[in-house]
Amino acid sequence: MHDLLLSRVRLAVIAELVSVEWATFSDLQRSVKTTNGNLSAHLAKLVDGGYVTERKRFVRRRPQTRYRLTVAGRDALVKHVEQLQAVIASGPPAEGEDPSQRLAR
Amino acid sequence: MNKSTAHDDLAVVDRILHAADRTLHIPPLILVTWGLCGAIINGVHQGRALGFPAPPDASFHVALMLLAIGITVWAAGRQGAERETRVDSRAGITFGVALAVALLLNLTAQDAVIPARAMPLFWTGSFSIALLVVGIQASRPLMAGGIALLAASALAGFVPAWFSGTLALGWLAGLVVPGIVLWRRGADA
Repeated sequence: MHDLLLSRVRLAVIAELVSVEWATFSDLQRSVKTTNGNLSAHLAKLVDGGYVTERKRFVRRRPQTRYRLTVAGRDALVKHVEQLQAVIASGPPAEGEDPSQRLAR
Repeated sequence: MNKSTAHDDLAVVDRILHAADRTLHIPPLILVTWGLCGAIINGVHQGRALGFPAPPDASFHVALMLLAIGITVWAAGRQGAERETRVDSRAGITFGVALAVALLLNLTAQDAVIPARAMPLFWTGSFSIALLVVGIQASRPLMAGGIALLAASALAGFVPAWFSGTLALGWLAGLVVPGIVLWRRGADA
């Protein structure tokens, strides 16, 4: 398992970034639904781990921080999902729908 | 990690990926600018063909192009979007390639191989392809604009006396109208 992706918030951030070119801090905050401080801490770990890059700029005189997924981050998510699927497949099926099947669609 | 946590984590990823944003965020000002640029150039050509006094091409073509490029860069930089989707990225590449191809042919082939009168067709052809490619993927107004510009390009050959005027109308219908529609919708395609 990728240690950095064991956190639900960090996993959600990576999954959000995999479907866009980049997203701002406030956009991620809206998507992930967490506090400023919590998201900042998790993003700092992802940046330090090389999964996400951070770029600060000014738009209409307001500071804006943009985050972009790196190749390492994308690879880590793919491997992590494979490992999650392996964990689920390693025993009797869970009740209800199998998310690994839904992901495969 | 236990099976229940793995199940929940996969559900989180699944939900996010299925709800991925596939909208197009393009500043309408860019569409309106290039549409007006094409319409003015072709409108002046039509005016000249009808016998009206018109300035020489060299005196305003380059200035208009530079103005359009400047406005494009300014509008793109000023855009307050909170994310850039994959569709946005592909749209930027598609329009950039269309512009580069038409500009390259304009600089290298006009007068040498392509008659100056036919060059506007390469511009409308390039931009109609770009509008159709982006529009089919993500935006009905842009798709309709692409069809309008392509139709004008095809029709222009059948009305030689109004060739440039037809292309000018194509630029207005192909880019200016979709730009206004997107602006009224709030910039999202």
